[in-house]
Amino acid sequence: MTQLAMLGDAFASLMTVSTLFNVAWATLLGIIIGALPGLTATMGVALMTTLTYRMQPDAAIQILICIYVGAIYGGSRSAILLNIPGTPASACSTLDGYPLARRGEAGRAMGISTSGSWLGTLVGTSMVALLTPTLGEMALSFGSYEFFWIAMFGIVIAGTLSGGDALKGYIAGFLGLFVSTIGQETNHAYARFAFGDPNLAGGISLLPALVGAFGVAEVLQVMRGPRMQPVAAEVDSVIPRLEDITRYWRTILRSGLIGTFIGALPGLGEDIAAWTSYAAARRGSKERELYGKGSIEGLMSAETGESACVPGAIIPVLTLAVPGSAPAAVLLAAMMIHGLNPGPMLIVTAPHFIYRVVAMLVLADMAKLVFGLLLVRPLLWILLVPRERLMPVVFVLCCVGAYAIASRQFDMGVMLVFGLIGFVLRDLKFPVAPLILGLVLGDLLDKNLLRGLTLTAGDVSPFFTRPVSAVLSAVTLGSLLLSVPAVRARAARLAGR
Amino acid sequence: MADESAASHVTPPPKARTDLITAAVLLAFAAAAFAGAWAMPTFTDRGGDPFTAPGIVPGFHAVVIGVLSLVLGVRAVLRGALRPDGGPPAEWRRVEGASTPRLALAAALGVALVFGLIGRVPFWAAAALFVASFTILFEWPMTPKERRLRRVIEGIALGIITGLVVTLVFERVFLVRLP
Amino acid sequence: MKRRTFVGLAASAAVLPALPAAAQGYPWRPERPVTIIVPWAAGGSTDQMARVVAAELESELGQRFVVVNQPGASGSIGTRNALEAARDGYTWAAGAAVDVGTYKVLGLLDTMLADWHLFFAVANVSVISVNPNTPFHDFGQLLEALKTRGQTIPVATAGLSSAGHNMMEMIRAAVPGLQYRHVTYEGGNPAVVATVAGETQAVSQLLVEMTEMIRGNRLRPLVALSDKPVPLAGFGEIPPITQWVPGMVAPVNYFGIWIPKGAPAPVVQSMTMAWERKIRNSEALKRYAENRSAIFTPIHGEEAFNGAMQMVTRTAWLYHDAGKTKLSPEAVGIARP
Repeated sequence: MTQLAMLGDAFASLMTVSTLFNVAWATLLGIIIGALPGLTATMGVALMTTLTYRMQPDAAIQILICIYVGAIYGGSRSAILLNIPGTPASACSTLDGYPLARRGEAGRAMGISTSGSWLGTLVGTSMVALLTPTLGEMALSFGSYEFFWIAMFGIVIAGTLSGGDALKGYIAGFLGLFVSTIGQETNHAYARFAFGDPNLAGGISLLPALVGAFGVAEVLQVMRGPRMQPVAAEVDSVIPRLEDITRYWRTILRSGLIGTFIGALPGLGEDIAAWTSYAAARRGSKERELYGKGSIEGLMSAETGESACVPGAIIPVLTLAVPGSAPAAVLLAAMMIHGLNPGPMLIVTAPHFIYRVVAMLVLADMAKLVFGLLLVRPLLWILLVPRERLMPVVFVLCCVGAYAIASRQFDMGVMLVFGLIGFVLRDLKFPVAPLILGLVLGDLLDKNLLRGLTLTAGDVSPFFTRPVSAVLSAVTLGSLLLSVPAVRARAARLAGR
Repeated sequence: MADESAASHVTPPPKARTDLITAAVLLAFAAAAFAGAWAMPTFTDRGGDPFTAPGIVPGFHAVVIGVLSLVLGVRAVLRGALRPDGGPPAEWRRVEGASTPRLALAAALGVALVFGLIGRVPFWAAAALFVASFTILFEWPMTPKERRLRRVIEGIALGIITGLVVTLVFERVFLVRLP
Repeated sequence: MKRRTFVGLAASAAVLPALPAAAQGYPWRPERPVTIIVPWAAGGSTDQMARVVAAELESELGQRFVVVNQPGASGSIGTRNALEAARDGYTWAAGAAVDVGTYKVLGLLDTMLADWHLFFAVANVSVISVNPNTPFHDFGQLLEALKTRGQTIPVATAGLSSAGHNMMEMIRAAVPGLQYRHVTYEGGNPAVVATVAGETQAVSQLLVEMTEMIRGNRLRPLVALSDKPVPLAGFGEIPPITQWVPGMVAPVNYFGIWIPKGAPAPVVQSMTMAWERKIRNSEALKRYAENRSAIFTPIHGEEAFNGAMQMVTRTAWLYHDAGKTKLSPEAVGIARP
């Protein structure tokens, strides 16, 4: 087993004091970056690429991987405690995490998110070790037609993410899709709905919209509502319950595999991995009615999915020099800057590097688990801060977060406008999550549809006849039909017969 | 409280009539958006593929939003939007402790920070002013007279600490140049 | 929340590598971090170049150079922000010189190449490659196919006015009757992957974006937009376009950083000195360029401007003849070549 030997070598080479020290601070910094609304994994990795430039390549890549792993996990802290996702990836964790926190189970929720996230990265990392060449090749069978269907599938599940009113979920989803068309399109550089404004011509970025729709809307909501008794006074168990994990092992495994796979597809990221895992878990769940109201399984699936996506996104980086997600794109650039040259030749020229990345991921994952458990109790204090003092600070952080990613004041305006829109929509019982999902998927849908049509000169048949497309289209159309109440009732009767 | 979803943790569902009004607003929005998409150039005169016309996708989204809002309107009517009471639930907005003045104040402070303060004064001062006035204004009515001075001082301290810490951390650690 | 940020502050302050002591003799010593705006997404070719340059400048000038990504509207948004920033020497922009030079005629941004102090680091070559399963083994065969049935051959590029699209349009302007089905992707990398996956038959993009795929035999490079063969470590030589289209001018596509004119004189002076002392001899940049098969071109000032104007002139007129400009190049002082 030369592979095992290489893996062993990789671990051995990383077991130094300086490496472990780097792993510790970088993972912690990653968690903080993730937990602050607006600072994303992409930005954290990009920032550290420059700052670690003079380090040895191995040390630098280790730090970047820790930041990446930590930031994706950290985002769910603020999602659970404040109903504000720290990164786009954890928007899905608000659906069940926040209701759990509100009924006094914030500690349990963070425990679930920690163990789910830890297991997710572990599942994903073992896929890197086992399947890197195979999965990398598989990513190539996804072209424009397939990405179109993935986006369509995301929109079809938008209705089911509403936790009740599917119709309003779809409306919110399509509003998000519509907003994503604002700005220059790719074919003719025509600025849609820009009204001559150069900032609008650049489009609405996801991040300010997200921080607004969740963060600002939440601040407004909390300030209008009645003053609440701090719920975290009776702190529940901080250590994750083994039973929570064993009971949902099927969900964990499924979400881990889905997350890894979505990660391995170029251009999709942690956010879509979380949504897809969540939708799949809900469909396969025995306790579907709990979803959106504080379901352990729901939170677990979202966390496992997004964290499994991290190693998944690194797979095509290593085999094809193609990033599976935005932070992975920066990681790829860092590898190139350090002269490591990932790509199809890597497996020939430097196979040990793949195993070193596996070992780095495992170390980052372990550090994440340790910090995750250590941080639960201090984080619960946040719930004890009265809203009159917590909310203005959160609002300031939202402003900085919206601004930080591109240093544009325009983005703060976008944040505020989306905050007001998000607040009104919420008040009218439109779910906000599909709005963000629509914004994420809009670009994917638009570009791949038009590209597919350009490739075939208007012939739509490849959208249905290519093998992967055929499966995806059947699943999507099936889900769409099943979401119509009358059809679902008919199907249930047929199944009962 | 325990069985409510995250999105519904403060207010009950809107009346059917509110849904009907929402549907009308959405329909108007969809119509405007469709008109905007229709008016976009197609670039076929420059040899562009007709499938790459910029208006197709937003136009499609607008049509779907329009259709869905019609469905929402019809559903609202079926649920009693046209009845004199505007349809159930009748306890509209009677949530205990919800307050529109507080909402207005929070929104106004937010707008003042983003459009009034940031960019005109140094960021740490803007943040400090915002946090201090937010805290003081909201705590004022619920604080007994003899403790108000103390609360004001605490508010100012919180403001200055927030402003300085946020500015220092973001400018020094995350290397963001704040406005 | 505050507590955690303190922990983070302490952690990163303790660990981040300290800045090396700055070299002496510079009239301008930045007192706070300097921003380099990359108007494209993180991880792209401009971003990579800017980060290597930033690290080199950090060690020379003793201050952090922070790369900020402001993508959108073909790079014009980030460039606009650099243009509108205070003229204090602390905000730079990065990118391809040809973009800055053509924003005005395209109506994207009111700026000209002459409005900037230019400092170039590398030049990138555009290459057309095909999927190895296609029947095209040299550019002559592809050229013949594009002339006879061009509309059936999809060619991937990173979109309108990208380096790859410019290359195709330059060839189209030089070869009468040539056609191709233009398929646009979100960036150079996705365009390359589409061709590797077989979704498009050919890709026209920067060589930097293809090197690994070429070395791994997943792409077959046919021709480079150059007047002499382009060597690629680990592969061999890519033939120049002039081999099939004699007399075609192949201007060089420079990448670097720049600052609007009006920046304090000591800033420009210091950067010029840094370019002469540090960048010209930078092992890191040389290695990066060699590895990514770019050309190391540490030029600045007049020399940089004259070099870049060739590409700007040709590209601007190309757009104009294709009816894609809002202003005639003539009107902004770019004479027809």
